[in-house]
Amino acid sequence: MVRFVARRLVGMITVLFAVSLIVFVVFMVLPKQNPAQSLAGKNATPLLVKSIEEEWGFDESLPQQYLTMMERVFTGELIQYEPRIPVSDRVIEGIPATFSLTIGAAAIWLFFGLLLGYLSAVRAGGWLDRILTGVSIAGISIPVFLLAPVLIYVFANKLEILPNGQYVPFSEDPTEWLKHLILPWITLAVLSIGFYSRVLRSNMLDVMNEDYVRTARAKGLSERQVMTRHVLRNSLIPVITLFGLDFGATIAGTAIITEVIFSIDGIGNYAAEGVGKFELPPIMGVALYGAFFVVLLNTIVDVVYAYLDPRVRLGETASS
Amino acid sequence: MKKLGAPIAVLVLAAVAALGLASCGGGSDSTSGDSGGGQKGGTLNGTYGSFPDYLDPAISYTAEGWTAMADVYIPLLTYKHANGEEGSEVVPGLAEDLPKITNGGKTYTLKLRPGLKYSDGTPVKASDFRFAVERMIQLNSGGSPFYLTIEGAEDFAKTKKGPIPGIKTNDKTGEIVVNLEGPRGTFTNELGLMFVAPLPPDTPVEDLSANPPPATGPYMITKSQPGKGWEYERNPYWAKANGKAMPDYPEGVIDSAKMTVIRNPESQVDDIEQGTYQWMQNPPPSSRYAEVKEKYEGTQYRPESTVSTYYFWMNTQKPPFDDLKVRQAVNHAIDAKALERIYAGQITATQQILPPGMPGYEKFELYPYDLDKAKQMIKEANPSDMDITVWTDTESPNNEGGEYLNEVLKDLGFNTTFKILNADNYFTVIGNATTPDLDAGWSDWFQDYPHPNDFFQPLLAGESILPTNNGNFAKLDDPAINQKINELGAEQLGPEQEEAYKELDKEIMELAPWAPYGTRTLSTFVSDEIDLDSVIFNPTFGHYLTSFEFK
Amino acid sequence: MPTEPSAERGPWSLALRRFLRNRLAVAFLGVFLLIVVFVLAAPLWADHVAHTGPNEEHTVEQITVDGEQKDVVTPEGKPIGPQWFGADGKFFLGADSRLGRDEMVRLMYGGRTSLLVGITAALLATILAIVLGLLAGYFRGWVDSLIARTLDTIWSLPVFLIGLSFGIALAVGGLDLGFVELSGGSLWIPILIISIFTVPYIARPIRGEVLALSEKEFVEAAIAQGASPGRVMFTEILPNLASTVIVFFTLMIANSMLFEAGLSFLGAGVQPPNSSWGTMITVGVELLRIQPLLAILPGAMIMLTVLALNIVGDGLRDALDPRGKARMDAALQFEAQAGAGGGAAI
Repeated sequence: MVRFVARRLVGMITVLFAVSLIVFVVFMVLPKQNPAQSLAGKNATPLLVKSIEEEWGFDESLPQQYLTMMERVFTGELIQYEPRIPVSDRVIEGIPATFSLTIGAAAIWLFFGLLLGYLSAVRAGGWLDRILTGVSIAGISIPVFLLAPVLIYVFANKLEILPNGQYVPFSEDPTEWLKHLILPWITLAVLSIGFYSRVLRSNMLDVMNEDYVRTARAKGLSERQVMTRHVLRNSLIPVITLFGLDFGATIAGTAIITEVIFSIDGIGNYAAEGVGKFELPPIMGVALYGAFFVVLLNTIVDVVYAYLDPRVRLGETASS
Repeated sequence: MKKLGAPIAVLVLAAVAALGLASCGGGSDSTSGDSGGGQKGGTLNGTYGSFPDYLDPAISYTAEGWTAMADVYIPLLTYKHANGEEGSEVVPGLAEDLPKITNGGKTYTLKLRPGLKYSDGTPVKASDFRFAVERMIQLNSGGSPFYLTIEGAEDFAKTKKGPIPGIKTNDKTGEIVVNLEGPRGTFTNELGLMFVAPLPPDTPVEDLSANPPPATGPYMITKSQPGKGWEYERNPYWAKANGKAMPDYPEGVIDSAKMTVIRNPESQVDDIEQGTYQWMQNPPPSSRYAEVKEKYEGTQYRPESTVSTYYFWMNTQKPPFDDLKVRQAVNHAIDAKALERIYAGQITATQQILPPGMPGYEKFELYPYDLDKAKQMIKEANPSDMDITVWTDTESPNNEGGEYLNEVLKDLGFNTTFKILNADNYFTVIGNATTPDLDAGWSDWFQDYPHPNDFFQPLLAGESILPTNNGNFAKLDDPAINQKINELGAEQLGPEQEEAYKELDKEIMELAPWAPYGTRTLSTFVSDEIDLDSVIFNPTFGHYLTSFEFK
Repeated sequence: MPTEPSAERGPWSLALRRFLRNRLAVAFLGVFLLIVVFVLAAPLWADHVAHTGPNEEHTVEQITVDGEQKDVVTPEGKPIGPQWFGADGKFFLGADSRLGRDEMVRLMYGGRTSLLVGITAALLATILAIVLGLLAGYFRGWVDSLIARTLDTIWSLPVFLIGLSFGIALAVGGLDLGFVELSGGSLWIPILIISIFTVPYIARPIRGEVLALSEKEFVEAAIAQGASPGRVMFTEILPNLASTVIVFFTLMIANSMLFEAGLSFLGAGVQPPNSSWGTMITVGVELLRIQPLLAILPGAMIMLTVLALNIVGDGLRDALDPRGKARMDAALQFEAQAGAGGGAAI
């Protein structure tokens, strides 16, 4: 187990390194442009551009710039361009909002996704199954940036029962915190509920006719015991994989569109700001923060996976 | 007057005077009911669509930043707190008077008002001006090019080692003498920009957006959370010192203000309608514009004209747009009416370089809309290169404006490649000489200050064609025009110069490097708690914090 | 009916017959085909009914409706609503924005782009995912580590940020890799971005299944018989992945279409003058309060397409994987025992 974790740790560092490199290359090399030019503004003289290059180190070679940037990341001195404040400050400030958004939505989508999937599978072929399947598919096919404005329009403008966005910290006012998060939670959850319910349903149906299930039934276990102890446990494995990926991705800030539309000051919103201004430091900061969480969650998923499916764990140690 | 009447007249006058004194109550009275006597005090809650580039007067170069800091940092000169063209007048700020200009336009002499203090109690000294200029240059501010004609400023910009010899100050008398390398007609206006607002000499030479420096204006910024918002309180030293020294400068009505960044313009409009916030700095989005105008014009909404020009540029140095006839044909093919609709009524059509509201503006129409004539002209011109690339940015409705241009050029027979770039990237890319296929595209320009040179010099002068950060997208380099721009730019602006600028505008439009199409209308939109009529919108600095009043 | 081993009957014809018996799936296959016909008919409609192209602007024009002259775009910038056949088919669904383009024509042309990008991206992603999943799950060890780490890296990348910057960067200069050159507006750019980023989503579950499958006896038997790794992977394991792959593939088309919409929303997907249902939703959301149809129509088209694809996908899964169908039957039997009604499988 220790070797397993150790290997995963090395893997994490490799991934973080790769991510930082790719982000750097994409932003500095591809667009082929000099950030000093944007910073210099509309009346710039060549002298001003040069001064800015010197100030920020844009005149250094690309590898050197990469090393300087990574150094600053580790010392927490990575500064964004406009205004010149530390990226880490903004990222840390954004964590409460993004965490509130993600964890709440994830809880909702996991619960309802599994519930709907379970009911669908158990009542497979029936009218409930068909309705739930329809609902699931509807959920996964609405783009976020269509659903969110419609929800805002209906609940915040027409009915005026919920606020139209922004984030209120829990410490400031728990009721408001909740009220402000309901619509964003629904927006994020709706998409995933559909997906998860269908995946679970599909897996459960696959598993339900496996030999060991028939054996369990033959042994005389009740249907409920068969379902929970054998079918569900084995169907959950791919679901857990997906959940780990999704949760990691969402905490990492891929809820960008949701955060922007609801004006939630989280990390996704900060990322959107950085992209809008095309500034590398915020993007690097968000990317590394995000990559860290994704890898962390992937690792957790792998550990859980190995625990649930001994064949995998043993298979790995056997061939290593 | 009869003998009996005189004592009565005095009594009446005294009574009126007494009544007047009584009704203009002090500090925290509730509404007096008189016009202009709205509720004193209160906290203004406003929203911005984005956080300003900086909350540091030396480096901010955006409308958001200037609006946010206008009544906080007062330069030596400032602009009159008035709507419309009146707001273009330069008036004394921290200086006693407008500068004395001598030595063929090369020497500017000013005197600092005595008794001025910063919001932390430090007295304002004449040498603080030189410090502010040096700090601005050391921070590599985008505004520094305006001040490089000061003797020794260019060397300072290279070495960052001062002091700048061209600025001489005397802290005892308060005298400030600035010597320029050559005459500069726009320098008075530039002294009115926040870039060179005096700051305490111990102000750190770094971006202070998270912790803005002490203020000289009626309000100070007390808390700043970059990306999220900031707060204002009354500057205690305004009432004690600066307000007394600058009686003409408005003292402001509200006690404090809190600005929040909300990146969703639809939400911002909803918030104003529901009264959650009282003011939004950016205009309502095009999709809500008509609705807001209809429901609230006169009560909570007011359109504001700006001094800006929206235009399509054409690269005069490459075929097909190196041919005058082709450029003129494009001008004939642009239908201002269509663009007004595309902008949902938020631009007013124009065909000049200078916009209305700028001294030197005169309306003329060299190229009435005539699509057939345009097609005919293209046929006659028979350009060698019919493959062109059209550029625009992503910000709505400019992207639609660009699409409009694209379709018009296709109608004229060109094979177009259409490129849309991210708004923040756009000007850097089209301003970079290494970008290929810069044939035609969209652009806009808002005045830095109300002097025509601010339009002609950076956008249409040959010497402004730079390998990077180019602003002269049409790459116009006409020697006669260049000479005129330079000559006029050195002279102080007067009626003679305004006439000459009108001529210059026409001359350049005869060369048709651009197809200008409109002037942007921005907005004042407040909640029903705010007195709409008291709000002042300055074309350069936007909405003045000192002009907001609760009803 | 006499039953014969499927191997002798031809598995594909059996599968086809099973599929055809699934009436719901067949119905929605029809829906999907209708959608395809709808988008393919775009030039016909544009030329003969609407008499305008998808990008032609009619901002200041007027049309005659029942003898009355109406503005295509009002001076305040409001586009005209659906005219149905009131103007002889012009602006059947109204105008799309302040540029006054025909919404119906754009809906049809946009659909072509959406389907093209969605299907191609999903196909590419699935093929890549199968290869990677097979290699990782079969060989394990360092191969697995390498592939898993690469997938992790891709998955950890800020998808929208990278996709966005690629889109932005390439929109300017295009992509020139020597052996292949793409112009900035090429559809291959969003297709490639989407497929690369969705590979991990499919590859991980496939890898998981391959890991499990490679423990099974028939695989061990094949290896014992001397089959090469390639043969084992592609002949023994791959067919057993079929149902997983098919289910994921159909879901991935939907995912890709939505991904493209998201990229287009941020300006990095389909570039003008091309348009897709995604770009149309972006424009429509801006005008949501003025003309909600402009957002709802393309949104509904995406939803309908996705619904159809999913139902057909399920039907395919049931048809191709007899054990799946048998599982379905077993489930139905159990259902019958439990008292719930039976019915056509979905």
